Amino acid sequence: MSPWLQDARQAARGLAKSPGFTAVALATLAIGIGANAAIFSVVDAVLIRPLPYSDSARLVVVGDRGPDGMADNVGYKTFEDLRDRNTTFEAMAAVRSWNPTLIADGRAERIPAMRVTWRYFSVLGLPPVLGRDFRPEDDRPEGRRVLLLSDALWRRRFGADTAIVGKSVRLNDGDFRVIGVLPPDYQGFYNRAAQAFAPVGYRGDMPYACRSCQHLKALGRISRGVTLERANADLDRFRRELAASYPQEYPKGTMAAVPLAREVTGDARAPVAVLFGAVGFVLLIACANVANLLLTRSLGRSRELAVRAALGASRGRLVRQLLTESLVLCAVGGALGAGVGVFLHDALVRLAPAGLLRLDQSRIDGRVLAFVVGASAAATLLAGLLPALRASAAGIGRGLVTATRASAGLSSSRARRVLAAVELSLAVVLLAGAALMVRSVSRLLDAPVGFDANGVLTLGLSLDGPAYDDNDPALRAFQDRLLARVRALPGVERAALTGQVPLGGNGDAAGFHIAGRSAANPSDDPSAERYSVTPDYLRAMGIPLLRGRGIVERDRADSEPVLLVSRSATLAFWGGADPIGSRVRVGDPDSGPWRTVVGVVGDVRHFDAASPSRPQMYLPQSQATDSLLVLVVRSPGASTATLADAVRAAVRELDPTVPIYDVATTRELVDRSAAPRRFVMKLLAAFAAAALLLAALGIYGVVSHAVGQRKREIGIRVALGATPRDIRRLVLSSGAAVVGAGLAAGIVAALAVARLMRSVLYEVSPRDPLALTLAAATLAAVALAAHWLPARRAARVAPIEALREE
Amino acid sequence: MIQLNNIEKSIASRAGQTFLLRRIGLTIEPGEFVTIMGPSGAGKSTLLSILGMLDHDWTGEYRLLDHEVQRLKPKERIELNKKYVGFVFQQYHLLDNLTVAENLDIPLSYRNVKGSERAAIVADTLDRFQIVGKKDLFPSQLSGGQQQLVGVARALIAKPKLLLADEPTGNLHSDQGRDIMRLFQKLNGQGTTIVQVTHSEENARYGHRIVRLRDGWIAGEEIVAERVGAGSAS
Repeated sequence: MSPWLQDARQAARGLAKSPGFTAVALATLAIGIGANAAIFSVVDAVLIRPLPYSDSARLVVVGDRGPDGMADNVGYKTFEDLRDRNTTFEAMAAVRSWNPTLIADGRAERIPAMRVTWRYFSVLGLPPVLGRDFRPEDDRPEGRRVLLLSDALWRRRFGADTAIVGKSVRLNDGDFRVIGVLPPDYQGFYNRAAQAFAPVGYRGDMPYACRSCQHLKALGRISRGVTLERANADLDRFRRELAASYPQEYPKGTMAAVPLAREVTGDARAPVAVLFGAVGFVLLIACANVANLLLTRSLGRSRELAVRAALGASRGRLVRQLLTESLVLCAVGGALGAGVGVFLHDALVRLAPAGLLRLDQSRIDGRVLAFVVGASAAATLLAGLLPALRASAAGIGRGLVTATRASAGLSSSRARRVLAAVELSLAVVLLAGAALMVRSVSRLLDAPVGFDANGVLTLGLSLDGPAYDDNDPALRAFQDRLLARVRALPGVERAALTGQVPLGGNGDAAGFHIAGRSAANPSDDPSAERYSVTPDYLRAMGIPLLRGRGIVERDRADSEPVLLVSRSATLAFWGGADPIGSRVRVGDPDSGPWRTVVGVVGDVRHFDAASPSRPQMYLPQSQATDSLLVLVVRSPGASTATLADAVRAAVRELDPTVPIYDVATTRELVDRSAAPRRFVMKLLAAFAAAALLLAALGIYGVVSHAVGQRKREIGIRVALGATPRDIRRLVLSSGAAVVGAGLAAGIVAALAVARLMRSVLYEVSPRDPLALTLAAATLAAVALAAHWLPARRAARVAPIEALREE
Repeated sequence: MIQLNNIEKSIASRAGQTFLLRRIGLTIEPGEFVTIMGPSGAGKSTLLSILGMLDHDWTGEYRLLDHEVQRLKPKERIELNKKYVGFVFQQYHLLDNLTVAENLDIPLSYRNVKGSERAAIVADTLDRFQIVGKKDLFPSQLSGGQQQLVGVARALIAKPKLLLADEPTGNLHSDQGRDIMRLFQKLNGQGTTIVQVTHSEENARYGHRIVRLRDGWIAGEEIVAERVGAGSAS
C-alpha cells in the first residue's frame, strides 16, 4: 500500500474514532463550502461564464457614450448609417421593447416581446429550432407582421404545436404569421423576459425612425481579429462624420462599444462581488474554526506523535500525515458542502425576487463542483497546515517526556487565541457589512419618493392595436368611461390614468425645448421624464402641487396646450425662477405645439427609489394620449385583490380584449425598488449570522479549553479564597485580550472593506459609525456569551478534585 | 476552635454509597497543633478539605469558632474560609505564571485588601520569611523547599487563625522538611492553630496530638506533647 493511501486510511480511522470532533468539523466545513458553492454559481453566471451566444466575446452594444460609460440608445437612421458605414463590425442589429396583447382562446394577455431588426438572431448566433429566421423582406413596413415565438410561449399558449409555423396569431396590433420557434435555452438580451419577436420594420422616412428618436438598442458583432479599441476608434470616426453631416441632430460626444456581457450583467456585478467576498469570509472563519479544532485535537496526540518521531518519522512525514487527515476531513466536508450548496442554491433561486442578480441563469454544474474541489483543497491548507506544523514540532525532538504536553499546550493555546481573534475580526467585517446594508435598506424604504406610497393601487392597461390609436377619440372615450366606472366602485376616492408611474419600470422621456432658450444645436437641449396624465392624477398619487394649477378637466385636446414641471426641472432649466407662463416644446424641437407651463409640482423618484429625481413634466392625457396606460386608484382601506378584481370586471365590460397587467400597490413599487438591496442585505445578514455562530463556537472552544488547562490554577485560587465571582472575572478578563484584538482588527478591516460596498449602499457612509458600533457591540456581546459558559463551569471547579488531579 | 460531630461523607459508586468519612467527632482547641495520620484512602485529605470548607458535600455538625458551618450557604462558607483559614499543599500549588511576590499577593487580592496595604503586607511577609531576594522569581526558578516556604508564606499572609497543611513536606528532602516543620512549630507557638496531614511519624512529633484515621473512622488519638496552658480534648 502506498504511504499516501496508508496515511489516508489511518486518517479516516482516526476521524471515525472521534465522532464528536469529526461531526463538528464536517458541519463547519459543509456550511462554509456549501455557502460558497451556492454564491459561486451566481458569480459564475454573472462574472465568469460567457454569455450563451456563439463567440459572445465579440458581441457589443453600441451607442452614444453615456455618463456611466455605457452605450445609450440610438435612432433608427443612426443605426442604418452605423450598420452601413462601419468598418469593424461583421453584423449589426437593433432592438426595441414591445408589449403586444396576445389574443388566443378568447383570452387577452399582454406579453413581453421585442421588435428586432432582421439580423438580430444571426448576430447572436441563435437560429430558430423550428421554422426560419427573419429575412430582409420581413424587416420592412409592409412585411413586419411575422413572428418568432420563444420556446416557453410556444409550449404554454400553443401546446408545443409543431405545425405552428405558417399559422396566424392574433395580437392586438393585428394578425401575425408565425415563422419559427426559438431554442429552449435562448436567453434574451435587452428584454430578457421577451416571449415573441417581430421585425422592427422601419423605413428611414417614418417619423419615429428619426436620428433623435433614440429608442433602439444597437448590437454588433465585431469582426474577427478586430480589437475592442479599434472598434471604438472606428465608432469615434463615424460619430465625428455624423456630427459634421447633421450638426443639428447630434450633441457633442463620443460613441462607445460596450461588451455585451457588461451590459447584461452590469447591475448585478457589484452586489455579486460583495456577496462573494462576504461568503469567502464565512469560509475563512470556518477554516479558522476547524484549525482550532485540529489544534485542540493535536494536544491529545502529542504522545502519539512523539512515539512516531522516536520510531524514525521525520517532521515532514508527520506534517504529511497530519495534512492527509485534514485532506480527508476537507474532502468529505467538500462533498457535504456540494450537497449544502445545491440546497442553498435552490433556496436562493426560490427566495430571490424574479430576475435578480441573474439568479435564473445560475446553476450547480461541473464548474461549481470544480470550485468546490478547489475550495476544499484551500480549506485543507488553511485549516490543516498550522495545526500540522505545530503538532509535528511538538512531536519532534522532545522524546517521550511528559513536558511535551505542557509546552505543546502553551504554544497551541497561543495559536488558538490568534485564530479566535482572526475569526472575530472577520465576523466584525461581515457584521458591519450586514449592518450597513440594513441601514441602507431602511433608509431606502423611507426615501422621499415624492408620492404617497400608501393606499394606491396601480394597474397596467394596454390599448394597443387597431381599435385604439394614439390620440384617437376612441381611446379618449375609453379612458373617460373607464375612469367613471372605477370612481363609482366602493371605497375608491380617486382614479386617474397616466402613461407611466414612478418606480413602475417604464422610461418615457422626451426632449425639453424652452422657447427662446433652446441651444444652438437643439440636440443639446435637455430632456425630462414625461408623464401624460388625466386630471386627479396628482391627488390620486399624493404628489404636491407647489405653484400654479394642476391638470384639470378643461384641458382638452382642443384647448391651449399646457404642461406642469417638477421642482427639479424648475431648478435645472430656469435656475429656480418661476417658470409659469414659459413656453415649451416637447420631443421634436421643430414640430408639435408650444405648451404653456401652468404649474410646478413636487419631484418623484422615477427609475429607482435610490436615485435622485431627474427633471419631470406632466402633460394632459387629452393632449398627449397614450395607448399603454397605468390606472392609478386611491382607495385607502380597500383590499387590493378585491379592488383589482372589480377593476378587471369594469375593464372587461368595456372591452374584453384589453389586458390588465402589472397590478401593484405603490408601496409594492417602492418595496420592489429596494428588493435588490434588500436581498443582498438578507444574504449578508445570513452570512453574518453564520459568521457569528462560527466565531462564537471558536471562542467558546478556546476559552473552554483554556479553562480545562487552568483547572489546577482555578482550584488553587478557590483554595486561597477566590469566590465564584472572582473566578468568572478571571476567565472573562483572560478572554478580553483576544476579543479586544479581534474587534480592533475587525473594525480596521471593516473600514477598509466597506469602501468596496459603496455602490450597493444608499445614503449610508461606508464608515457609518452606527453600523460599526452595532457590529462591534453585537460581537462583543456574543463573545461575552461564548465566555460565559466556560466561566460558569470554571466557577464551579471543586478545588479538591482539581488539585487531586495533579 | 473546631468542633466536629458525627461528620460523614460518602460518594455514589457502582457498588452503592461509598463512605469516605464515618461519624467523625473531633474537637480542636485554639492554639493546638494536630496531626492527622492514616494509610492512603483513610480519609485524611477529605477531612482536611471539610475543615477548610473547600468541600461542601457532607453531613453532620461542624462548629468553627462561633459559626455552625453546616448551616451556612456555600458563599458564606467561602467567606469563613477567607477569614480564618490558610492552606499549605503537598505540591506547593504556586501559580506558575506569577512571581513569588504576586503569588503572595493573591490571597490578599481575594480579601479586598487595598493595593497599598497589600504591597506593604507582601513586603513584610517576604522579609519575615527571608525570601526578599526571591520576590521576582517564578516558581520554576525555586527549589522545592523554597517553593514550599513561599506556599507557607502565602497561606499565612492573610493572618489565618487556622493553618491546614496537606502533606506539607511530602515532596521535600528531609532537611527541607525539618525546616518547614520547625517553621510550623514556631507559628504555632505564636498562636496559629495548625492541622496537618502527614505520613511521617517524625513530622507528627512536632505537634501536640495525633488523630489516626482508618477507612474513614477515627481509629485512635495520641497526645505527643503537652500544650502550654491548655489540656487536650477528645
